[in-house]
Amino acid sequence: MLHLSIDRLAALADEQPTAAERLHLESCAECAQEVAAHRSLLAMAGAERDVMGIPLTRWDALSRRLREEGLIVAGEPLSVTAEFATPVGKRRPSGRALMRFAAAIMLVVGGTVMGRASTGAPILPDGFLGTSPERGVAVRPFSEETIPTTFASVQEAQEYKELYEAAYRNAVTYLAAHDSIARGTPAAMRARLAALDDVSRTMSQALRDAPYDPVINDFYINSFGQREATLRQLNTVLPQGVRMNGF
Amino acid sequence: MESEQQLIQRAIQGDEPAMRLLWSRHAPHIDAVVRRLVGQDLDLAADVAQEVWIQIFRALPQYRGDSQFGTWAHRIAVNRTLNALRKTRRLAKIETEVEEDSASVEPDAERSLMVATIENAARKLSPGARAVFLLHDVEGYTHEEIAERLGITSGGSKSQLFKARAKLRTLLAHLVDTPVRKDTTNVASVY
Repeated sequence: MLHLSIDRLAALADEQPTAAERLHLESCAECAQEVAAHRSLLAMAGAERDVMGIPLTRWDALSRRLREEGLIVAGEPLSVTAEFATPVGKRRPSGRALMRFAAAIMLVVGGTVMGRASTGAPILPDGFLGTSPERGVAVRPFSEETIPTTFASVQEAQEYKELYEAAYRNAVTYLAAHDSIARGTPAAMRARLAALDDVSRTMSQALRDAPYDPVINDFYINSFGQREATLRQLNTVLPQGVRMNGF
Repeated sequence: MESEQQLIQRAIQGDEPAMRLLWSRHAPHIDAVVRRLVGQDLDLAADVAQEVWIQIFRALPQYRGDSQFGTWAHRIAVNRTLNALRKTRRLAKIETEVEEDSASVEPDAERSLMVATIENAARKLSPGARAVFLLHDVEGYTHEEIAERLGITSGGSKSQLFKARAKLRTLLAHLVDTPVRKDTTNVASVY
């Protein structure tokens, strides 16, 4: 008997086979295997519905529009970062907020250190502490003198955090294109991508539990950035004509 | 704890904390469906998601409670996203065949590195086939519902779906763990 058509095999992912098809599937391991694969694919697709990603909306932007449209009728705007907001000079930020902030910084810095260590590069980039070994002069704003150790307010701390995170992401993008030491071999990059995927899966699970937690989101975005950077690096060393758009 | 119905009533009256609570409860799912349908253009997805939420709050007085709020909001999200995609002409060729090319997935040795998730694999489908697949297999819509939303026949929806599944089955062979059938010389329906 002939094999089932490609379309029919796909249809049997969620349709019942006819009597004739059932008979065929009982005797044809190849078609039965294909139907099993399609059912597995369908189950994966169903599970995809529960997968969360990076938040697309922010309440501050949304509430502004809702006010413009007259859908929010009264009251002062709520702060998106209300949990962190503390009137300056009245009380100190909560321990929980400070812990989150510290954790975010640790994650960013830790990621940088681990990334550099894994490639054999010096843990601290040249000039990070304000001097360049080659030139022996202060070269960039990332010096001990310019990195603040205390902040006037939580808002100021948030602003610094966002500024340094943006700089970090830009640096990762730049290094992906220019740092031949960190680039490594294709095998090393694939291993890194696999490890980053493990991290992403863990972070996806964490995002389900706390979809708008700032620390979880920061880390997810950073790991996502590293993943994209590695992918770009890998594209530079693959054979001509071969390009990876995903991993 | 305040019920969702009470929250909705307060939100209809323009109460910001109630609106924010509704948003924070449901945004993860709404954002996810918008992102899936839009694809990798995160800027567009963010714009669409914001418009979706504006529409949800605009339409809130018409919500009658016949279904769960999340289900109702999800429908709005799907409709608004499809409209947005139509405006950007990403669904213009809804009836075109699933693209056969897979230029970015050769050679075979690299294939398993290409697509590790359904979402990534779905990006390799034509916009129409992708929309049908996501709406049916991920979001749980019927072919009749899809046909209505996409302006195609339910038969067309089925046809697109099966082709999309066949391509995804190939792209995700390493995950579904069965070899791709090579022999097509005697492939035909049993009928």
